Amino acid sequence: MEIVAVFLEFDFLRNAFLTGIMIGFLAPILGVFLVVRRLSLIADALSHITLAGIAASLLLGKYFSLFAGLTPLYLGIVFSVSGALLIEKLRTVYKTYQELSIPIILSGGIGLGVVFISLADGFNTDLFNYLFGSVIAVTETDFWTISVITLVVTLLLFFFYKELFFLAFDEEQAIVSGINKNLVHFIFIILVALVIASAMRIVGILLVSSLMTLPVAASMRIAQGFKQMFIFAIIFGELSVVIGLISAYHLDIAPGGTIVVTAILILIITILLKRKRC
Amino acid sequence: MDYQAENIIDIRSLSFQYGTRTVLENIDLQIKKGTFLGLVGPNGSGKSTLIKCILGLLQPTYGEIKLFNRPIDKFNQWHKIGFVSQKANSFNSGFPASVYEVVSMGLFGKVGLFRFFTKQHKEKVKQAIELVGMTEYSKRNIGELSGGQQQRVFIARALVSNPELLILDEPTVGVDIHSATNFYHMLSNLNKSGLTLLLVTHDIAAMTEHVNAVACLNKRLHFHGNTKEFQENHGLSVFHGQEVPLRAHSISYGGN
Repeated sequence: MEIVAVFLEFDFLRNAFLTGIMIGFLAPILGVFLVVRRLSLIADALSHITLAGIAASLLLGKYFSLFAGLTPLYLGIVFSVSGALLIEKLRTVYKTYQELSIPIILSGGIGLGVVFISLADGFNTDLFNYLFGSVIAVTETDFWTISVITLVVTLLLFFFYKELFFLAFDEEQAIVSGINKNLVHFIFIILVALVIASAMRIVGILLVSSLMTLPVAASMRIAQGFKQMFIFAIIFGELSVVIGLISAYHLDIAPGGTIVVTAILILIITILLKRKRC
Repeated sequence: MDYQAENIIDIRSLSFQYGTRTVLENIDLQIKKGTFLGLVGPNGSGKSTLIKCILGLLQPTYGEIKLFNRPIDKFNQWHKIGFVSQKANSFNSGFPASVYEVVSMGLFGKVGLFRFFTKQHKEKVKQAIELVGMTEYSKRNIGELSGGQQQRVFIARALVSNPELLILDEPTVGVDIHSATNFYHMLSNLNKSGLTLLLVTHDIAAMTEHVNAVACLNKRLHFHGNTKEFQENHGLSVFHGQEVPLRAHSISYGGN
């Protein structure tokens, strides 16, 4: 119990722990919809554009005191949501090759990120934390911002669950039954952008998409029905975050790595437990 | 058949083009309440396009469509129409949705945004599953079922909102003969209980035993009449795409 107790003892660790719990819940539930709609790579594209936002914020912080005092999470969110809207726009430009919008935004994001990082004279500890996650870097402002995002995303998912479910399973039928596809998809993609920007504090930009897909991939192996898929995905997401954070702190490793390795181990166990066609 | 019955579908002078290619040309088709219409035609004859126009998924290039006496652009009672698509046979079989969950989707449009399932809705889902004889499978994932069983589930989903019109696009593709026969019997019974049906099919032999009207489409509407007339005067020649002039339009215009 001692290895867990330390997380409740210090404020900064408590922030990381509680934020991790929220991310371990949010990332897999949105991930379920991403995976079944075969949109897993959108998470990667948005995390890279978030990196550009973070780098821009760190760069601006060097020159303007306004940005120096502002958590980079805010500009990360702005970039992430803008990237989501751009993906949607590009999907209408390339109607028959909609998936092209993802690599365009992904490379655009990493390109911009590299430019901003170079202008800011290269890497520093802050940026390293954003890339691979950190146990100690979660501030109280981050905690409260992510709490609000968790509340908003959970409520919206609750209200739009049946529409998202129907669209994911059978888009044509969903439209015939009168569901407004564009509105629901727009809201969904904004939610994804918000969650990605939130999750990168803990798990890091480069690994955030894995927390949205690995628990879902494991859950898919054993779930009977769509609701069960959520339950297992959340359990696996939380296990990965909690085990990952604790081991990251005690082994002095970036939590992004330990969380993803835990999620991979869970995935391997489910594959070995049940060999099923997916 | 009641020739005085109201038109459920009323299509006037409908044409549809994909770019410069004309897929449907000057279609006039009225389907009255209580009809069980078989829509036949060779591959690429525009059957699925016509269905998509009726469902509002495609906008006709010319002409107009009325559903339940309302122009389609003003029609909003989509729960009155159940639809089982061709795609129902080729959905992602790995999708982890149970039979109960798939059937409940049929009520989502009717329930509406920001509203939730009530006990009555849940009861309706159970009844629809029972109607197609799939109760014992209701917790199973849809991908684990056979083609015939999956088709029953999709019918249940289309029926759960108590539609007045059921549209089926090639529902027996990939289903074995025994299941298809049972399936047609089920459709006949639904028609007898008052449901209007529009069935797109290649399976002419099985279809003519159960439908009470036939429409033959090959870019234009080459025939629309009752089953007996179809068998006597036209039969398979129409289906094989030979040019047959429009001779009978008995159902829509009331004469026979």
